[in-house]
Amino acid sequence: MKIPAKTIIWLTLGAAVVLSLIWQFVPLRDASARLNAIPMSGLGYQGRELPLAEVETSIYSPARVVKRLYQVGRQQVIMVAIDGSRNRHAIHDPTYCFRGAGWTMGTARDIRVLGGYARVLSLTKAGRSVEAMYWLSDGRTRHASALQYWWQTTWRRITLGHSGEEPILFVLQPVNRESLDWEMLLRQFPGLLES
Amino acid sequence: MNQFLHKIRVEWLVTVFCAWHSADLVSAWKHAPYDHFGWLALLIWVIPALWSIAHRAHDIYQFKLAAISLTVALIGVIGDLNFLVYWGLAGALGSLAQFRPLSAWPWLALAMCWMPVFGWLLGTRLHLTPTPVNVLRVAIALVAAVIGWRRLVVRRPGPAA
Repeated sequence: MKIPAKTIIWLTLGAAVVLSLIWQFVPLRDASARLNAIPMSGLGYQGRELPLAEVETSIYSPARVVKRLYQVGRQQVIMVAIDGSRNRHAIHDPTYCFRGAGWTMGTARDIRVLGGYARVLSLTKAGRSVEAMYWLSDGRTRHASALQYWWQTTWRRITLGHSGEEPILFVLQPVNRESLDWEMLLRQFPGLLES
Repeated sequence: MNQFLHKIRVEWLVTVFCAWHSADLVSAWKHAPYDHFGWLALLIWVIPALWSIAHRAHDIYQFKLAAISLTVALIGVIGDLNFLVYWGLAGALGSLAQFRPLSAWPWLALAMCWMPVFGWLLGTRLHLTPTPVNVLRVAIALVAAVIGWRRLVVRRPGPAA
């Protein structure tokens, strides 16, 4: 018996609706535990929570975001950590975001960290220069590749979370300074590389 | 049941399904500097399709294009890859507009002009700033609209075999 093409597309449409509901409403295991594990204070560093601006809340929601100001030795840094489990599109390639915000990209250099590498960007805007460091971490490996993040998170969604942990995006920026000694910062605040 | 199914155009439902999953576009257009003119690009890009839908010469839809679009969109939904969902939406609109799959491809390929992935590619690969990207979006949408217009309106397709 030949099944009419029209019946096949009706069945496919029904399956598409059911599957998309399953994929939307079956919650992925998120990275809350690793976000919560980012230490607020420790030997040589002290942090405090910063509120998100209204526009940040609307862009990130419903992704979970932690924004803190840390004093690490003599250096001050703002850390934003985003878990995109509930909204993967809250996480963008930071180079894209910085350009979108009007920054001009200068050099980019990679720093070896536990489980991979982090990237330090030089940015300029209206005569002001600043550096920022970012990496994506699934708790085991660390990298700064948007494409690798897409691949990891797409595969994770297809497998309903069974392929591994959700990568968290960490973005660090200095306060009132152009740059920081990033290597020293990571040595003095090793808890940053544990989540 | 069969009669009921024949009365409802599945192509419309595929379009609704894709549009439902494309809701993120609005947020991107609103918040992302690279995507600010995406809505305008979509409006220009879709003109020939809307014209074709409004001036339907016959009751032939492009069922195959709708089926392909649904498959692409479903992969996008499951993998959370928005650009596939958006291309599914573009294809579904093409199916309503009576584009045949083979003649639709240039217009469909240029649908990228209203998608966030266009800004991401030009911003990160060509290092363009938001303003030229948004201007390019609109320019490409105009080209796509002309191509679509020529294929749908000037060389208006007859009923498919």
